[in-house]
Amino acid sequence: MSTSRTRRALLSLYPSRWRRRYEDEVLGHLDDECGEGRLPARIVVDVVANAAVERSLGAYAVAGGGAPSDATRGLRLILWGWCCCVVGGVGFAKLAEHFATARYLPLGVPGGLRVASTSYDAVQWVALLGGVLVALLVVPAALVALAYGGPAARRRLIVAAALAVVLTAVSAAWLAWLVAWAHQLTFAQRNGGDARYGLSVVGLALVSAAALASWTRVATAALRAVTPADGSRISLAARAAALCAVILAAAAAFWLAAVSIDAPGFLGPVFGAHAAGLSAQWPYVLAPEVLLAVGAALAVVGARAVRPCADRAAVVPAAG
Amino acid sequence: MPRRPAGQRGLRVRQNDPALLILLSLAEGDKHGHALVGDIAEVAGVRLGPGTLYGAIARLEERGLIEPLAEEGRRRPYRLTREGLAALDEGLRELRRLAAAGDERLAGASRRLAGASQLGPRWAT
Repeated sequence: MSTSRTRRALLSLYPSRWRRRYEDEVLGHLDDECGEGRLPARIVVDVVANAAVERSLGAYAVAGGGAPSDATRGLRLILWGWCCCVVGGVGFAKLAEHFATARYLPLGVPGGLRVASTSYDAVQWVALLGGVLVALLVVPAALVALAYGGPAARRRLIVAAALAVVLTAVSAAWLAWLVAWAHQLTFAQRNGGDARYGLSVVGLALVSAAALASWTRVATAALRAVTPADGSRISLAARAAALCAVILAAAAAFWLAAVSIDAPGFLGPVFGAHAAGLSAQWPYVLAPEVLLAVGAALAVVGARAVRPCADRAAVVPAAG
Repeated sequence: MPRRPAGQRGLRVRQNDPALLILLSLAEGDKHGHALVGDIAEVAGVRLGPGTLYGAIARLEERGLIEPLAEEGRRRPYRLTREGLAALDEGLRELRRLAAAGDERLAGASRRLAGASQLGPRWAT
């Protein structure tokens, strides 16, 4: 590929409006700065990073007046809703961890586990889609906040991210230690026979939830510094993310209902004939569903609060 | 000293702020991108990358602080506007205020150290 085509390919990362105005000028500038040769890595990184910021400015601008707008309040609620959904989703994944293989076994269920299988697949795909939508809401906000939010917003983001990194590292180390320990225990010890192991699992769950909450805090700190510049696109993504949360909660509930009817043995003694274990198992089975429902409710309330930004002039980023 | 919000025109006062450096450079005369980078490197010791430079130019242009002139081949010079001049003046005043506060504190610290050394070696730490 020729030098000129490589440079044009690099600048194609910028939004088309920006390219129409500045592309030829920047190509000339690159010739002036670097001649015809290869671009130094420093220049490539600078161009790519600023292209990401420029694209993000199509979605967000720096909040005017410092007060968080209604639009970002709604987005922040959606993020907290997603945080609940992720915690609930992890609980659901643990509950259903052997379902992916068990559904193909000849269980003697009339019609197989069709409803449960469809619900299980829906949970997985909608969780993936929702995660992508949440990333589309958060990453541009973080880039704009870092680039143009000013020192106070940048400091808030960095402090929040530092706490999140520490909590993530602690939960990763805890998980590694727990996995190593679990290999030395028997099946019975891992499933309620060893109180210390049970407590360690609960501790890991709490620390992991705290890490997730701290990353949500980073995202909401970024959203505090910005306001949607292109209301329709951001509000559309926000509503789609909220819809994903609702489908996620509904699909998980369908799965639980279908499994409890068609294959109660899969859930252990909870819905089966072993009524003695019922009280001990209820929280384990229902907590993920409750968290998913709370998350979906928060996301819906948030989506209703998201408003397009009407005043573009008020939210043009500060110079710098 | 009461605190004042820095940069009422939205210009963040930071010595290596690309927007401030571009305004400062254009105060000397109209310049295109390459000339801006060279001048800023000479005056401030900061070499702006093309992404950073044109990101800042786009924001300054958007806010009417600079304006583009007619193209000269593939180069386009920029000129400081009246609003840009006012923004630069405000930014530099902020920096001067910061420098003055720093000078005042520096003088106070020097006086304290000098006083401490007169009390004898025990206090001259």
